[in-house]
Amino acid sequence: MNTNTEKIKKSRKQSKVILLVVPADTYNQSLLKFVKKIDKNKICYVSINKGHSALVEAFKSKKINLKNLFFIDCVTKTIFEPKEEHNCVFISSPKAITELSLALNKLMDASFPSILVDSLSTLMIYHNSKTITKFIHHLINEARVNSDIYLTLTISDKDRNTELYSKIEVLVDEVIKLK
Amino acid sequence: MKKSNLILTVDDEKDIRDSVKDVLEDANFKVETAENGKSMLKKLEKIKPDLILLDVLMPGLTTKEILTELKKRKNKVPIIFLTVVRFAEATKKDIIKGNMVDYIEKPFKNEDLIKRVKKGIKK
Repeated sequence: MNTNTEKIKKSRKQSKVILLVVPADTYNQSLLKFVKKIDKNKICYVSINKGHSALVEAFKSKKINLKNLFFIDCVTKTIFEPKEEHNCVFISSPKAITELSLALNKLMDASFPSILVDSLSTLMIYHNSKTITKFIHHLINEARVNSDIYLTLTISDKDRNTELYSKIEVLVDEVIKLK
Repeated sequence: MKKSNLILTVDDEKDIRDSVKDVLEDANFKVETAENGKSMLKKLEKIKPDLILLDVLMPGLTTKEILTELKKRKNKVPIIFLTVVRFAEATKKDIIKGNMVDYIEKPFKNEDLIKRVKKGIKK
């Protein structure tokens, strides 16, 4: 086990809210490796930039257990009306942040202990840093109130100099830079 | 002399717009650009492109809203999605129908873009 893996596992035991800084050049691969490391937990994967079908395909290829995953897909409906899926809620668009909050609240009640939001970088296309910070603040509060919830937020390393990064960095328990 | 085809490329990232414009102009296309759905729809009141290259994740109007507006205007110009958004191959087949003629994932190869734009216009 390399140092990065050990650090991730240790952090997930100690920290409730993690900001994951993912290298832009290898974003999808790095994130897949991260999910593989934590796939023994029930994960709610909030995707702002990849459709449910692409995620299922990618996770299957990495032999990640899909039974432990539930998806909130914010992108598919921006193009077309998808068929219903048993393990996914489709949100009308990344612009619909209230709809996303409501879906997340329901899943927090349904005990999905790990919530992964992929990614803050894409949310920035649709919202200003104030709106995203408010949304994240709400999620963090929910996670802190509910002792079983662990929250992971991802951001591309290209966005480390943004206003949003500086605002979120101080709200989380730990920042992990993926290699 | 053969008339050049006009391509409208719509992307919120200036670097992408510039790069697509350079690649396609070098391949003898005329290129107009727009930075989001709203400015694209405004441009379409003045120009009649032979094909639109459309990003999927942009501020303002969603892709679905843009497509609905084009349908309302009875605008049937071929559209190629050019985007970082990933879908499974089967889903892409569901997306490519009617005047939505192709789905290209970024980053793209210049030769592939030119080839698929040419193919898209012929459809």
